Amino acid sequence: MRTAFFLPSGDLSNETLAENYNDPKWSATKIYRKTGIRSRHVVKDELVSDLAVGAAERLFSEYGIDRSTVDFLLLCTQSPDYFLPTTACLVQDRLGLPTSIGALDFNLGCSGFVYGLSLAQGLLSTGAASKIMMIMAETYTRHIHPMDKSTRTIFGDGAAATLLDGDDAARIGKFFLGTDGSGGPNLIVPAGGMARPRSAETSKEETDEGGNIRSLDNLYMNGPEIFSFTLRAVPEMVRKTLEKNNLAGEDIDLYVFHQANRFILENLRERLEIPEERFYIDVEETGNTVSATIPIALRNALDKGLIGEGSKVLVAGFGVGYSWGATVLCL
Amino acid sequence: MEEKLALIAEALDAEKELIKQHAVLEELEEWDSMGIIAVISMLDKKYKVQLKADQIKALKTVNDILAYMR
Repeated sequence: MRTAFFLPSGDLSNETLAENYNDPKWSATKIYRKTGIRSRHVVKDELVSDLAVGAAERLFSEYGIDRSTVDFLLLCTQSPDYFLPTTACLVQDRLGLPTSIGALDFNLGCSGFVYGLSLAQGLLSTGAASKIMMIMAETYTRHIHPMDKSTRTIFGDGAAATLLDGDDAARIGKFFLGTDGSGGPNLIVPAGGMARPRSAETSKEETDEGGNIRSLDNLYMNGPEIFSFTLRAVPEMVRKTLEKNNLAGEDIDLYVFHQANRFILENLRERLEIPEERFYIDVEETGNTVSATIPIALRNALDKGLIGEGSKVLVAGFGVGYSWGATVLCL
Repeated sequence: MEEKLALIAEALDAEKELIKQHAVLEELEEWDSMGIIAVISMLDKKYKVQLKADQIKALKTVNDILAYMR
């Protein structure tokens, strides 16, 4: 699977965070111990389209792809440049892709890559597209209040671009998908959409019991409930995905889950009794880049030689929505 | 009982003396989102219990946690 990623140059280390928070409970060492993250790449004033273009250009140059052969662009983001027009349309223009292509955004977070694969497989199998550029691009830090420790310690920005053609579609297995919108309020930017437009009222900062500051314009995450949701949903999803693909747990060469943070991943690994050497954890330098975590992890695992031609990889995304999904890739 | 209280103290990274059956969780400095997550993790690992949002909200005292440790 041809995939490349692009990270913004801004670097946010645990040391910088600890200095800002000046709270012994949030020292640099403690942040690392609790999250497994040392630093995150964050945008200064770049837009999601800038990151998307960066990732796509890398994909073209690293794999020597002729851009005129791309005939569909799928872009997943929850921090688009505008309400409208569609970010994918702007990216088509900036990349100099043909005007004869299809392009659309879809709005998902941590499950976005897996859902994107299912959309791509559908478009390829019907012949609506023959070569798809799929981009996961996210600047969640733009939604986050700098003094909200619960989210700022975890999330980073980034984008990943993946190229999918008919041969790739044949290597994507059967999907297990899940949705539970009743969990929506647990990971949300309450204001800014039509339900609650931004106003002086929504920009008022409040301090919660954990000493985190945020307004209704910022990202809110109910950490304990999100964690509990992953424990409820993910193990069952993994078992059912294996079942649907007629595979046993030991048939999988590498499990690549959404890289939420090391703590959640370790809990899931233990719960599913997956040996460490077949379970990928890679959050140290990038943090949680939402929909981009899985393709970034895949590329890093390929570069490290952990997987290669013919490897079976189980990918699983889960989070905001709630939305979750998994499949098996045969590389 | 002592063992269970020790498990809770360990999860919360709190002094053992503070973790008594009737201790009010909100009064413990360690009962923040990270502490709550550590307790949820302990209940999942040791007792195969996954709490839902309203069950997490309903945890008021150490006894409420003990109720899931069976």
